[in-house]
Amino acid sequence: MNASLIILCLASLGMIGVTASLVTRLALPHLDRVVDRLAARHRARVWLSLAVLPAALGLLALLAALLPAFGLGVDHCLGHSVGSHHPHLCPHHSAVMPGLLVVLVATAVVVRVGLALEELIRNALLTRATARLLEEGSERRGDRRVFESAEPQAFVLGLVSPKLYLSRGLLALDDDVVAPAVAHERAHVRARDGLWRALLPVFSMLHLPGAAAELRARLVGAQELAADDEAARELGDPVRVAASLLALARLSAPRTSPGLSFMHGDLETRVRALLDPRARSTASPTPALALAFGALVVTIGALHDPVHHALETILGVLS
Amino acid sequence: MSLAVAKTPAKLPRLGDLELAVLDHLWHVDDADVQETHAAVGEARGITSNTVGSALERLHRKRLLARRKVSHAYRYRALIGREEFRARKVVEAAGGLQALGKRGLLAAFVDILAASDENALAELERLVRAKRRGGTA
Repeated sequence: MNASLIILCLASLGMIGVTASLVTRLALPHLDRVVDRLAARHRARVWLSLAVLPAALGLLALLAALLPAFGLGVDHCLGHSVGSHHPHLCPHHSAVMPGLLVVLVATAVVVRVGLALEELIRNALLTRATARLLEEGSERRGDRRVFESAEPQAFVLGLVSPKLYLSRGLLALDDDVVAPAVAHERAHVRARDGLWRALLPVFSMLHLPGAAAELRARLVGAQELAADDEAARELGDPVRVAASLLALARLSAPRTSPGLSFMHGDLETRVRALLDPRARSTASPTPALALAFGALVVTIGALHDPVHHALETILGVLS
Repeated sequence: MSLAVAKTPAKLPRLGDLELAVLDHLWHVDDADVQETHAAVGEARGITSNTVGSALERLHRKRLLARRKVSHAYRYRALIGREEFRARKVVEAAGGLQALGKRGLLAAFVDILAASDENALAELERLVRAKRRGGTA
């Protein structure tokens, strides 16, 4: 594979990613109405899927465009005149140096991917180091780690093997306050919400920053509501969870809360959701998402020749 | 009888699982030699007394244990109390926790409070009370 083909592939990924991100961003208000009918845990899955959409769509389209290079599909390249300066998404043609704009788009993609990976690694290392210190500074009580702090705190820390941390300040409170906080955090542990949040920058690396931030806010909100739902089901009393949230809000001083804290998310939204739960579909969106992905693979595969042609044409215009 | 006492380090060293278990044992018993520590910590783990002895030696070099020779064996005791050790570890972790919050990996608690002023909290508490009474909010 020559350098110009690599640049063309990266630029193609960037173009598809930006287009998919723009469409996602514009569609979000409409998607909100549809996704809102789902249970919170399922909503989180939908937002994660949308986060990965530009990267997945870009890779699929690129693979489809490269099919002829692997001897599969229609050999579009033969239709081009010999010696044409049209950029070719094919390793069998002589390399033509892509234009400046194409190089810039490809560079932007490399930078975005690099930054996303660097953020993931940095956060993973910091999480591990912090978790190790907390582990050494905590007393183990079953699945709980109890640490010295007068402030009432409950949070989950750790990506692959998340642990539940509770402060002595929290445990000194009434069980009506403590039990909902613990049940909420256990729901985060079971769902590995911290891992998904840490992976989000990588999943959404081809999204425009604004769209990525919108999806992140929706994912975090859905995860918190889901943890509240599960705590309410475990305790059999949604009002108790709401009262606990409010009690902790009263007790907590403004500060940055660590980990996946019981107090994260929009407090008013969460309390109102607990007090007045709306009937939502419990159907999992996973089959529908899998079907949509399958349809996308088949469609792009079937349209590999027009996709190939369209990408080369746009790359030609940019050159 | 000599007593080797060192000041505990300003920044606590990183400890392995065995070292933590050994330290935890010494917090319970005040002081112990290698064989006693092995009986309490090592046997259940299926490790030799030499391994436990090495852990004690490492903790001594890390200035977390003092030791004195009684007959032919060293007896070890912790130089730092359990509460102090744990509190200092949590303080060291606080910087990492704050950094994780600032990096946007985690939602910030302060945002919730900013969005939830006194009036909003009071209204939500009224709703909770109404719900508990079985009334409509």
